[in-house]
Amino acid sequence: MSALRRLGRVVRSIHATLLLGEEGDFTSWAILAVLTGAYIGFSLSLVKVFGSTVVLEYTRFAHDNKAHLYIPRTIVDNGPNSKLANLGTVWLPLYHLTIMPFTLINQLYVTGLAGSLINAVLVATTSSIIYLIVRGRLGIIASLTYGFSMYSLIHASSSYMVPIGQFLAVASTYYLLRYVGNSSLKDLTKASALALLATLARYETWLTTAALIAVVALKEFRERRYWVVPAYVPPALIGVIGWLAYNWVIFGNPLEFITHPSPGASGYYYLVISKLLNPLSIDLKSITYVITWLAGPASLTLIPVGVASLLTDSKFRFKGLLKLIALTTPLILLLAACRKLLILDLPLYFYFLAPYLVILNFLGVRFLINFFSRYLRREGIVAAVLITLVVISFVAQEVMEYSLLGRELVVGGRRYLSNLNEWLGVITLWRSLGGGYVLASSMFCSYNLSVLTGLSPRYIIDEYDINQLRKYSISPWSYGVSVVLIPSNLTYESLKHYLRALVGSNDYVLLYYESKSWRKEFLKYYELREVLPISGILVFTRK
Amino acid sequence: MGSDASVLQESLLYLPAVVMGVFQLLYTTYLIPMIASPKLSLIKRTYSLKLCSLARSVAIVIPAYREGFSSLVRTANSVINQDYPRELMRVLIVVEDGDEGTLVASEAIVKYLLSRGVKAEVVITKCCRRYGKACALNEALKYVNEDVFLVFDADDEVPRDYVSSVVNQLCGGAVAVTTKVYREGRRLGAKFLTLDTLIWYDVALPTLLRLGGYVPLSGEGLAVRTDYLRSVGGFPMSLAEDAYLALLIARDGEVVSYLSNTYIVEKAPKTFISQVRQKIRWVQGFYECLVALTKMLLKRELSIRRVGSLLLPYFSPVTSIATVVTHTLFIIYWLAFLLGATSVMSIYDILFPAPIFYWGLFNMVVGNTYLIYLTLYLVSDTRFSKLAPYALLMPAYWYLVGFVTIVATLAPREWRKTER
Repeated sequence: MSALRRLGRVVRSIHATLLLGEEGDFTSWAILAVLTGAYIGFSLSLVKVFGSTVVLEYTRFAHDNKAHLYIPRTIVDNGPNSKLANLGTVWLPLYHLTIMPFTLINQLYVTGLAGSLINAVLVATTSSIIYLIVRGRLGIIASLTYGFSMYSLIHASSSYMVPIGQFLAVASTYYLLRYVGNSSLKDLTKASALALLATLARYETWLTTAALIAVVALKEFRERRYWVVPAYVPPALIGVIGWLAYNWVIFGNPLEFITHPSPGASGYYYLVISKLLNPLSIDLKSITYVITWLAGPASLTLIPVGVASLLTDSKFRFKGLLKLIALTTPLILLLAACRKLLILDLPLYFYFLAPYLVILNFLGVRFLINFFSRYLRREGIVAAVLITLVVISFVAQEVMEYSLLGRELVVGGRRYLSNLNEWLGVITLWRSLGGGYVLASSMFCSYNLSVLTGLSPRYIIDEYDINQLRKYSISPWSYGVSVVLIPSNLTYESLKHYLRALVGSNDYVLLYYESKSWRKEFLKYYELREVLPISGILVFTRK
Repeated sequence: MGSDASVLQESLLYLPAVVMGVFQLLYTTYLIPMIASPKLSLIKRTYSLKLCSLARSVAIVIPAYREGFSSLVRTANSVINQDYPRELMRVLIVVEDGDEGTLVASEAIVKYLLSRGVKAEVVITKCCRRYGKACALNEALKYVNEDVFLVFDADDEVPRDYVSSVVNQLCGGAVAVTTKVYREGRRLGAKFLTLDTLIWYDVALPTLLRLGGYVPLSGEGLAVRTDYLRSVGGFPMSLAEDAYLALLIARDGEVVSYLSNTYIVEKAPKTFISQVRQKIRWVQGFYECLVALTKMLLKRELSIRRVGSLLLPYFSPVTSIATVVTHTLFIIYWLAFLLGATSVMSIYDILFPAPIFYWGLFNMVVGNTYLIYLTLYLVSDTRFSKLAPYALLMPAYWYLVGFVTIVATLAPREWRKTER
């Protein structure tokens, strides 16, 4: 009993800390505790079966897990090249900075738990916030609808970086909605602080921050409290300004995160802007597909009702409009939902929007319950019917999704284990040579080599050691490089553009394929020891 | 001889990094309690204070020096409005001999108080210039035979239940009671001062009190048991007699009570120069306390925990200097970056190892951002809400305060009157 009480205190403390003092109630703590337990349980079962949660990357539903584990570790465990600049420019820095200390523990690094444990708590807290926004029994169902979605389970168990951005954006929206309701500037301060952090976590949150600015400006200008906007809005932009400054200082271009060869999530914005120029009807099918998958088929009816419900009360129409802006602005990202993305599992990329879709869905349910009960006076029956419909729609969708995940895990798990064996073989070779450096590239193998086998990034020379990589590329034989990893001919063709852009024409892979004399010299010192068929890598070792 | 010189040269090369490291340590030490303050609020310190009968006589002492009638009447009205029995209160206005203007105003105030049923009288002193307020209070102590010695300043706006709350705490076991004192004014500097005092009284002091049990006391609204005050020989003759008194109470292991649910509003200094003079006096007073604290520590008169909670505030001037030095270094670095002066930037690379540099950067960026939000949060939904836009400029204010602290360190020590 005392252990339970202690656990309760821990859960309450986590809840209050993450939500900047929001105590919540027993239900919100229970949601947080149950979902965190479920996610960690799933992560641990993946570790038990496959040895790592990174196996999820081998399904269609999670990507870049290895990169998100490798990058934070290079900041502190990359020998003389341990530096903040290793955060790079492709991804925003907050998630990497958050999990950085955990990646130093090899057990957590190799099993992927360094990222999963953080994500489990964050996704569960997001569920709890959904409850706090929707409230009541519907709130519980809404939070569990989101919490037990297959995409939530996967994100919470992986080292994917959406959960942190999503949590911060939804938490900021929660306080923004409270501020719209009660005009409390304390709530606005919290919304603004969370928005600041969110802008350092995911590019999608720049849109939710724009919504915050719009809502505050509209509300305060109407109420003639003009001083509120210059006081509370600019701090929320510190994150964006800081990111531009970082890009400028480190890469010499404040927009490097856009112009970089792999622009990452910022690419969304290109798509959204380009889609704004197209007729919407063309992409409606994709948008419908994404919404259905993330919030169940019933949501196609309920979301418009939810949106309308915010504007029905003539007494509070302005407040409703502000709430509408806060909740629907992120949905602009749905414009990027198109086959142009060439992504097999489209909803994965729109998972960020799931909480907003679920909240709007349940606002619709609440409105319908109230509406029908007013006219039919049988609230209970109407509520039961509506909720059953939503739950059936959701559960049916989830059953399909979980069966997909099951299938993917069986196939992906096999691929993961074969891949793992390949890289363990490379490590065995490296050890037999007495260690030394491994010349690799993050574009095709250093993430695999380090995260799958637990090899410290300090032994790997890749783009995170850019000066060394440029120097060692020209004559690896002069610098104690014992293993050189080169992509096979086919892989090279798809990569050479990126390699040239990232490292320059003296990249060792480019030299290997483009310069006969260099290759001849190289083969004097190194011999081909293995070909990794799954990864498509040639393993050269020092003669 | 030559090798000695090279060792010295090498050591000197490490010096900036060491100094910067110490500065960052100081800054972080201040930042941690600030960040942890919401969590620390869960810690409840209990002193076994119990409610008791309110039958305690109170001497309300108002040291007045170059004060006008309007300033004194504000405080007098606060006394009249108290919900405490008037027959148990007596007001003593302490006036410096020769300060005719104040004497005339004080006599008028005495009449005004008497007409409202509050006992009052004027005490004329001949105090030394160096420790004006402490000296005046000690002069007043000679005439006090009440149970409680309560200090108000001219221009104080005190809540109705203040005296009864104070007495309740004192008769429950505390020897001294202090509260929040917000300084309010219309000038730009006064606005920043208000925000500064909000952080000091709403975050820093309660946090330190929870950690160590003792904090520097504030003169305005300070209540001390008269018998205790006599036992320590009256107020210490220091530029910050109130802050110094906390040291003596900590040494004696007595209890200080902090009334966190009420506050006194005081007028901010009249001019920028007056504000600077006030800051200089505080800084010099804190230096005196720091010296005394060190002596007590060496004599083992204080436990480490008590020293910790008092050391942090007394050390704040040093941290202020550390902040100004660090910020200046970063400003130069960024200017060099903008102007493409790579040679200047490379000097930094040599002088400051990456961890120290990043630490400083973190403290500057995260620390200032946190403090901006903290200030915004503190002013939100209060009577100071409209000061919120000024919260964004607080880092610049603290930067300026750092320069004033440097001036205070070098300036001669003397009592500087704050004109309001």
